[in-house]
Amino acid sequence: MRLSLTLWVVAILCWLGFETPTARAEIYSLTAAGLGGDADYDRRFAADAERIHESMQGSASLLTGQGATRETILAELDRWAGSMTEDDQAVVVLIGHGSMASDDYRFNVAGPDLTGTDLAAALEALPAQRQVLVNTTSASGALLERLAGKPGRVVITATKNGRELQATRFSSHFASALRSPAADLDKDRRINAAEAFAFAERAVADYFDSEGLLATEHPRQLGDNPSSLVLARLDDAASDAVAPELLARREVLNDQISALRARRSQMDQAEYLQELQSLLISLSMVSEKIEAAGGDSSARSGEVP
Amino acid sequence: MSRLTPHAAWVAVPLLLLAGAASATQRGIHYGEIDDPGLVACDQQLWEGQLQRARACYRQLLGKAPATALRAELAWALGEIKAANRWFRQAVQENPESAPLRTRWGWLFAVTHQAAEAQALFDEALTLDPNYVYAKLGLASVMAGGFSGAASEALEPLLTDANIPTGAAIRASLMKAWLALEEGHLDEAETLLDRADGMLRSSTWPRLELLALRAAHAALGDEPVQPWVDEALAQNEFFGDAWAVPAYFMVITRRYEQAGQWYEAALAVQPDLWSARLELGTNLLRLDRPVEARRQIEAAYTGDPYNAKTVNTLRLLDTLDGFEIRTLTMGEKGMKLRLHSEEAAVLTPYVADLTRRSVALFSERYQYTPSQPVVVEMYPDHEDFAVRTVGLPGVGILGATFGYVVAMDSPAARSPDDFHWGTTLWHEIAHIFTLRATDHRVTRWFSEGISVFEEWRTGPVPGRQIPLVALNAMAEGKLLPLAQLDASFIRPSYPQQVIVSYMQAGLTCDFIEQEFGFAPLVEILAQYKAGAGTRKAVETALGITLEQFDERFAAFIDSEFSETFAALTEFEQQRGDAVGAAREQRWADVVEPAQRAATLLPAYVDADSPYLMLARAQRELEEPAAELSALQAFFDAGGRVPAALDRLAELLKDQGNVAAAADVLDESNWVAPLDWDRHSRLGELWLELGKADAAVREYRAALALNPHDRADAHLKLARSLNSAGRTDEARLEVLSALELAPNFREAQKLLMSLIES
Repeated sequence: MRLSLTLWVVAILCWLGFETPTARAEIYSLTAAGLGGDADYDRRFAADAERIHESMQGSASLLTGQGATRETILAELDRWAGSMTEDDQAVVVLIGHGSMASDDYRFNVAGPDLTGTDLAAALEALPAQRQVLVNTTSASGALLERLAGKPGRVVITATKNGRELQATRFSSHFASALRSPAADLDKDRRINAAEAFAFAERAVADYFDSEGLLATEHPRQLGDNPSSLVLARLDDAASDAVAPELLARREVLNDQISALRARRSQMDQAEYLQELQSLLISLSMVSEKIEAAGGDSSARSGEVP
Repeated sequence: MSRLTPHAAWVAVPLLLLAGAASATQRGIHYGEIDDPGLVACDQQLWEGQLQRARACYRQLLGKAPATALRAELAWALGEIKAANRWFRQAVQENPESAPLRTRWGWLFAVTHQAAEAQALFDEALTLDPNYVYAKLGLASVMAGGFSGAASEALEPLLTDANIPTGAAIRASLMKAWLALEEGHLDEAETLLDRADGMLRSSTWPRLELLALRAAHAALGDEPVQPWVDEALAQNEFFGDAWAVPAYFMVITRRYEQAGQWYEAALAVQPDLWSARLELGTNLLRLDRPVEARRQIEAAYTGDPYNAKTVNTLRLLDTLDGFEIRTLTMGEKGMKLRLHSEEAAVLTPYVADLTRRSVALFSERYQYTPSQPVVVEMYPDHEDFAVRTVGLPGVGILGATFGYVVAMDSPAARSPDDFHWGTTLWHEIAHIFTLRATDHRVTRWFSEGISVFEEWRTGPVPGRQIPLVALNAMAEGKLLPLAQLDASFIRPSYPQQVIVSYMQAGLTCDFIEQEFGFAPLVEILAQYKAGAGTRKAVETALGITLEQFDERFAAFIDSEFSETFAALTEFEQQRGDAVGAAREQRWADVVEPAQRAATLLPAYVDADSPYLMLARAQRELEEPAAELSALQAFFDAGGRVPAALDRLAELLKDQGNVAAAADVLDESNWVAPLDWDRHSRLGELWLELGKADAAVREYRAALALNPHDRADAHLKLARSLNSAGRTDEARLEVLSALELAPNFREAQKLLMSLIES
């Protein structure tokens, strides 16, 4: 099927009707690695934390080993509360051993453990409406439903409940996801929470499958719209040479495509495909211009600086 | 007809008549096991078909506050199974030393499909009284139900023991006759039935079961069954087994349509013959009539909820709701695929391809054209397949054929390291021809023999593949005279004998083709169709006696395998040395014994093949050329372990031999077609070779397997479609890619290119 003249006109009209970019929000991230219990685990947890921390966008903090305590973690979150606005995004990543004791989840750090109650209170105190908690520890599933109820918050855990107590592999794969083009399912050169989770979840399953082992961890994700929460970029930011209106135009087209997809079930299939094709042609043309200007033709703007 | 795993297990199929019950849950004829005159008088009325009078008689006896053991029998007779069980338990507590009581309780378990409990009670009875003949009969019945060859051995001494009660002697003769009929020994069965008849005519026991077996004997000998059935029904107009017993023998000789008619006749005279209703339902499934099957099996469940086969089959029917049915073209009649909805999209092209190729080839070779659509069902859960086949889980077979219906494990049901699903499908399709070309009169050994022979000669992996267990048995002289081969499939006399018999059957066909040509194989089918037995069929087709055949076959085995037999011990030793060195990662020490073992038994290509040990060692020693050589030898000898094929393809590609790499990966589809990454890699190779249509097939399969990166998979498929000149399809695929990932730059470029073109 070739595009009709009418559709070309629609495409051009879409192209002219761009909007201005939305205000950029700040990302606050904290990656904390707890105690390993032995040198191997200490090294592994610290390495995973380092990789995740380096991939994170925005204002990123890292606490590991003896430096990661209940006090330092809570203090960092408390510090955010002073400057964070409700449009910002908060990302907390925990790596290490977790457990369940006295009906509460515990993150094993130097000194007193950080509890599920501590985390719940600290996250609740943050002004940011959009929050991601990535808890990669054993027993992390205990926090899943308890913390995921708040609108705008996404909780990712390495285990399905508090009873999966074996040391997990999830953090390593999650760290890989933030740097891997294979995790970038929507090809926007950014890794959002949904993509990172999907990549790590599959990698964990493949590991147990290929080793012929019974899976001792079952990652879970709960919360609103995790694909809107960008965690990492796969390359540098777009060139300053790209005209802002091109980037804005791309955002508009992406939004229109999203809106069209949402209406798909109510539309005639042929009509849907024609409209989709029209928008995609427009988007391709914008991408080409961005590319020609030396920018990243795939990376979307808006969510992260 | 079925294809076995190397570790096949046979399953228990209850022989209801032998278990002493005309219908599941009913007490049946007890041949003197019970001597209470009041109860026997009631039973006589039942056996004469005076059902209401018999029930009244039982109730009357119950009203007289009988002893606990008699109360148990009466509850059983009135169909109150749970109450009967309670009374038997109490009776045994009251009289713990009674062997007869435990034996009767054992029969109650036997007819309610609880063979293990029945066997335990028969064993206990024999501990109390080692000479108690009815417990021996009970034990033999359980063995027979488990298809143990020991059943015959257990019955033999009872047939010659003049001191056992006449009733027990009658039952022993009937049971042995049943076994003889199952094994196709019609003359022996007739002698036993005559013996039983002689005793019955001078006794008070009814001849009902004898007449049912006479009818079965007639059916197997292509004689009319009606006279025997009429005689039985004249004695008891409600005796459904008069039809159901010959129907059972039609099932085990694969004459499913005839069996269905007789099961229906059985239910017409005895609607509560629940075992027959279940068998009718199961048989309807074999005939690909699932809706009617469900109706019958649900009805069977209402009458006999104790039968695990009934419950399992109902659950299976629920599972089938998750299957897709695809009707495809093939010759005049076409084919129907019933595949799990999660596998249908990926498996359909491969299953259809192999089915078309095999049907076309076998139609020509065996001069028979299917007159109905071929149906192929594949089950991702092996236990579903097992229930589909025999009603029970735990069966060690890979595939089964019922006329035009092939049921088998799907590739997901087993490890690809030891399951070549393409070969299994090839084997099963061959059965369609041997069954249908003979009106289902082919013997088991010949049908299996042709299927194995066709695996070797024309299958996806040509060449003889004989398991070590069979080679060892052959070396030990365990092959059977041809006249005895069929029985070994039904009741093997030693573990793994069925595997050995499959191989012997395949080698027999191989031998016939090599020594006499292919035409005699077709002639043997024609002889079976005309009603000949193995002796006449083979002697007519080959012009030599069966005894001469056995002699020449033995010489053939000797000439073909004497070197292999001589090498077996050293092979095990060399392979053991290689395994030991590999375990300790002494890779240099693996090479020599692995090479030697591979030379001694070049056709051994299981997952623990010496070729693979050698390849692993060469890889560890960083000798890629030697590694490639070992893997290539493995592949050429028929090895199809997917990981090994992946590595071989990788090495060939590295060498620049893209075509060979593609051929190797292509072979993986007949083993492990459920790996999206492998399809994707193969698609890439086909594209590189300019084989766009082949690439399309692989990328479609990859996409159907829900790859992690669906946008990328759509783009790859779009590219291959574009290369194949199918631009409209390509555009739709690229739209699908961009629908998932609108900013996917490579897909955008392809879209613009397609639009501009």
